[in-house]
Amino acid sequence: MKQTGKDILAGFQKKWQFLLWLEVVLYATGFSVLSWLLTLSWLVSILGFVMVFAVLLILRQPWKIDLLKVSHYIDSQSNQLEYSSGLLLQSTTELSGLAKLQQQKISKAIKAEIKNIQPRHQLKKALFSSIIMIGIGVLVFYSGVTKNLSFNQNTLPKEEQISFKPTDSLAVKIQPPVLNTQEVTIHYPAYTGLRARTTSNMNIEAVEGSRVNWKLSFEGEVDSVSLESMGKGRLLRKTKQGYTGGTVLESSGFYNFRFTDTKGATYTSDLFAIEVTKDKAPVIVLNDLKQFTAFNYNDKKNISFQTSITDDFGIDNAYIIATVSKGTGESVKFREEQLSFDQSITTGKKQVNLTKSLDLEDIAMEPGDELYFYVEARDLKRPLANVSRSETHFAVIKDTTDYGPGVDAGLGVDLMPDYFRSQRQLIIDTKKLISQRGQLSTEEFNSTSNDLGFDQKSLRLKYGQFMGDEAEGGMGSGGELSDDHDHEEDPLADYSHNHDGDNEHNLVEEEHDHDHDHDDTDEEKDPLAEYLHDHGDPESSTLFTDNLKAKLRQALNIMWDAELHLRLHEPEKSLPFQYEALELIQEIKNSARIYVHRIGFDPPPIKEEARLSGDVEEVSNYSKAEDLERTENFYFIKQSILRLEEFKGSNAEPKKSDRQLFEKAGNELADKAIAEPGRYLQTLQQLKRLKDEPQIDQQLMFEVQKGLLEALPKLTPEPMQKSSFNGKLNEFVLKELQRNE
Amino acid sequence: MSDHLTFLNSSWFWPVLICWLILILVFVWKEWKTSGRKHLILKIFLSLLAVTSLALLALKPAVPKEIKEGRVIIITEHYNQNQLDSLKKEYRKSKVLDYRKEKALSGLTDSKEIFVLGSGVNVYDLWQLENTPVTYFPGEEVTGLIKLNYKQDPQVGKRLHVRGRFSNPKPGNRLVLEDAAGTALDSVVFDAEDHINFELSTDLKVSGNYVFSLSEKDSIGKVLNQNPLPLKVKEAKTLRILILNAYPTFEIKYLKNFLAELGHEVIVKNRITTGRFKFEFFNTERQNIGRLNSSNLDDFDLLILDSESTKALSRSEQNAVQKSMRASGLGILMLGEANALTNLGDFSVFEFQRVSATEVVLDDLDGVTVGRQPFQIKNDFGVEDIHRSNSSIVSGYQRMEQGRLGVTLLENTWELQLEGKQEAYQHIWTDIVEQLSKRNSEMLTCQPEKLFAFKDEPFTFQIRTSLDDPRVLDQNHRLLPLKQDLTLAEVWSGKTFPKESGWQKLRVEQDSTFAFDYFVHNPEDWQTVKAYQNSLENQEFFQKESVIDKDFKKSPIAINPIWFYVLFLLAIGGLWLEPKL
Repeated sequence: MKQTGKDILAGFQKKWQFLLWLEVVLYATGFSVLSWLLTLSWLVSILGFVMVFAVLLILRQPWKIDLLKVSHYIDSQSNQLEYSSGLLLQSTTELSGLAKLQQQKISKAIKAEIKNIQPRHQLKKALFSSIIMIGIGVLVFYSGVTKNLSFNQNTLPKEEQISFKPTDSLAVKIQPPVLNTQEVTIHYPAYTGLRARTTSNMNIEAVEGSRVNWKLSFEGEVDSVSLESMGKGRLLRKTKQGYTGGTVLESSGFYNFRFTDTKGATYTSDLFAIEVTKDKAPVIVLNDLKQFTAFNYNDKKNISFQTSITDDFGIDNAYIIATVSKGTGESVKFREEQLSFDQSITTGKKQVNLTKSLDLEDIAMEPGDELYFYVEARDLKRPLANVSRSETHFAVIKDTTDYGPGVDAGLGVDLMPDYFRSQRQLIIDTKKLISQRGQLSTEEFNSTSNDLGFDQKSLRLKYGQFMGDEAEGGMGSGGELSDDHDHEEDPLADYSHNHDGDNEHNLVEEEHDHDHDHDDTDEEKDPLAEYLHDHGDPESSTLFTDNLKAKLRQALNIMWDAELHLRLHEPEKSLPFQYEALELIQEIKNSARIYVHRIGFDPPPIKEEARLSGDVEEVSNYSKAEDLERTENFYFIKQSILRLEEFKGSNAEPKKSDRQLFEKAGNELADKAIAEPGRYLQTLQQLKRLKDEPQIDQQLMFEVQKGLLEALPKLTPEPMQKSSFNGKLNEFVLKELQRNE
Repeated sequence: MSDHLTFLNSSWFWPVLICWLILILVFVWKEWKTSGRKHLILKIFLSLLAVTSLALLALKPAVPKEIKEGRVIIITEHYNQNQLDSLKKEYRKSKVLDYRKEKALSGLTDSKEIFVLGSGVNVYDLWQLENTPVTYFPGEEVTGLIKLNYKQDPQVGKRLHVRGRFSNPKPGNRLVLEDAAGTALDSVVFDAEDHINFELSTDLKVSGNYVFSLSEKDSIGKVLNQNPLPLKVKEAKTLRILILNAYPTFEIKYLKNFLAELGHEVIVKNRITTGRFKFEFFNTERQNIGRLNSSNLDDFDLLILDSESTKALSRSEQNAVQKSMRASGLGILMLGEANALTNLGDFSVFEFQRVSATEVVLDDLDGVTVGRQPFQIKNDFGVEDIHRSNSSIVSGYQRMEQGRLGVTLLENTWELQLEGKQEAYQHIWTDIVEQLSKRNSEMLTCQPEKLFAFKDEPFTFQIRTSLDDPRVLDQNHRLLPLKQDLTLAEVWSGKTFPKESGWQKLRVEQDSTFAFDYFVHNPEDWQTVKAYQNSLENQEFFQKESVIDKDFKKSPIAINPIWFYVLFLLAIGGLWLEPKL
């Protein structure tokens, strides 16, 4: 049949459509191959193919290529057809004469022309991009990146798979049962909030107290399966799905599986590590707080601090333990309180930031009291929670009146003059007066204040006498001081250690201690003379008095101010001065302390000839023998290293004794490895292979030796015998040397 | 062609002469009988000539001649091509011998002059060039390890130091010391220097024979070359120590614990009061040491006493101690106040100088302060130091014939233990105890001449022994001949040719406990060290040689036998022709 113009167009249409379909298929294939290479999953690959195929199909729409489109396209591509290819589509009958003529002309022309026209397509581009996609895929596949991207969980990585080896080399001949599935499920303790995890990796890392379940199933009949751990074995239970067993993790260690097939041959697996991580105790950090804080009586006694507590699995509770100590020496009293933070704590949080503002007055602290406190936090661990505590911090309200013991307690005497205490009495009275303001009438108040002022004055005058100040009038109560004090008698005679009299000039206190009661018995006498240690040594005399003088003078000046405010009926204003005066007096007392410490113990001299000359009839020789023969550390490891060195380079087969040696070395290493199972696991496994496998390759020996050498601890210096050849020549030379000396 | 005619086959002289006489007689008789008087004289002369030529053919007469063999150039490893080229240009007819390919050097004695280029011929081949005029041209400088030194038989627990020299290193490359299993223990990175002296060190943890290795690696860790470093790590031996103390001290308490815990045999005798003692025996049997005498002292390696217990020793005990020290090598450590140590008679051998410091930082223990007495040991002749601080000696000893008498001025070292500085404490006492203790006297020691032995090369060793006639056997129980030293009767030397690489053993027939292990290297090991050493020895050897050998040497050269054949033929021909005329 003659090919009509329409047929030609139809043929072109089909060709065009085919090319478009091909284009789409190329893209989709390229993408699906790429996705397979990346994921190694057929599912992803097919899905990718379908998706790309569908998307491109919609974009390209090959079915939309109809004859009309074809004719338009051909017209636009060719000059010869005079835009008349459309005529070919119409039946001859419908056309005018001219059109018929044209149709015939075109139908001839198109036959020649159609060969020059190619349908519009992007086949080259499609081919090129799909090749590029496949190329990328192959590159990535061989560079190993895919391993990380693998979505496929059905096959186990080789290193995770339990490999069983027959313990008896004969067993190889029988087809051994094959491990079908392996699974270990770790149930973390409830409080951790972690979900149970199932994995095929037999090396376990878990929190202490986790429960572990193993599940193994075999293809083929297996008689029994057991789990061996640290020398102990336990059988796994047989269930429908396979063999299961479980345990609660207490400590790190190793384990391996062993199974017996129906013919009685046993197989063991590699060693696997159990690494038990301990639940850590909460970590407490106290911010913005000094270890030691001191407050004056008039400060605002407020401690505020911020603490942040972190724990690995969640905090249960946190609080402050505060201890207040009152008093000193034997009369010290302690009071303990548990304080909560300003915020409440949500149980189970891994980190909390807490603040606390602590007013010392709220916990009834007074001057002289000390506060010790620390923060304690407990986590959620069960049955016993981990408790941790922060460092202890101190806060002290300085005691206004503390002057401590004057001398060492051993002396048993407070050497300070009695009336030094009256400053304290004055402060107490002044405070009492202030608290009674409002209750007392103004006159009464004023007169009491005035009285206190007078007391302050008389106190000042008494101190003034030490300074050589003139005694003013108004010391009407001078009579309280005894006139008839016996000078000769030392009131402290009973207390002082006067048995070594030549030391007396050092014991300064004795002199000025017993003076205080008769300092003004003799008016002409310089009252200070008693306090000066004038032994003709101007140096020692001035040193002490200057110090004392300056302090006393300062104290007197302050007393003036204190008295002034009392006399002006302003006890509040007077109080600070009184405190200051008291403090100075305290310091004066402390300066005396230095001298007290000079009292030392001089033991009587020992007669050398009397030493070791006692009666030793009853004393007998004593003899003891002890065998500390050191069990050499890592003896078998060292032996194994040497033995392996001998095997190297020779083709000798390990003997039975060697295998026993390797086993013992393995035991030694296992003891060491418990602390760090991961580190020595490989060497342990290899030692096990050395022990069990009939054929041993050189590489394995190298690796085991390396592992063992690394396991040996660092050396410490120790003496040992040197050896040398001692010839006649040596002897001769040494003798001659000695002779010529 | 004059003076001395010699016969190369001189041993045949008399038999040949007898044969000659017989033949002459036979010929004379025959001529006499057959041809009568005619031409008899001529015929006798001809037969005499013929028989004599025969005799001379057998005897090979030779005359001394100057050597005129020409020049030989021997090229060896690392030779310089320029040197070879210019020598070839100068002496066109010279013969070139590649020593690297053919090791045989025989027949060179006739050469007029020999040039050796490169790192030289092996030391054991040098004798073949003796008495020949040789000029040696050291070749190109060897690149790589050229010197190496380390102790091949260290003790376990000690530190191994490998020292050496590397020439023309490539910057960035590393020299790595690896243990038997290939773990890197120490390394040195080269920088841009022509020569580098290096020291690598490591602790030796295990005893036995091991092959460590020294590898040169580039910056990315590729091994450029690797050489085996054989080590014979010796077992540690424990000591037997006696401690005498006038009264218990903390120092002794801690010291005895330290020593006893390491497995040493320690006996402590502490005076509790007059005439009463406390005896402690660690790791050893109880024994009576109430009185010291030579027999019970000789068992000990070290005696530690304080000044007061020394004073308390009786005269005979003191003599016994002195005798033990001088004769059998007992070590003695004196403890006590410096003042007290100076008036102990024979036991006071040190002089002390007063210093002010009461604390000391020892030279090899940085950062550790130890108490000391305010004295130092005067550095007299014979005083060997154990501990030094700057220039002052705080612990030292003197040789007393076989033994050593030591003293330490360190005090209260036990406090180091309380401060947690155990290692410093152990360090201090290890030094003292080890230095002073009696040396284990060996009956026999073996010392290789060179650090390394190679396969198929002579291995020379020296033996020192008090045995009268040591018989040394090799691995295969073959007896090796030994040569006794002329002056020192105790020194013997021997030579063997190891045929296999790896560890080999030498044994002594008389002492089955003795075994000397040595490692035989493959020929390709330690090339550069060997080349450098060879070059040095060649230089030395040929320098010596060339001086002696100025004049040309004459050596007997056989007269070409063709002349005797011709003479024989002519004479016999004459005899045959004569009757025909």
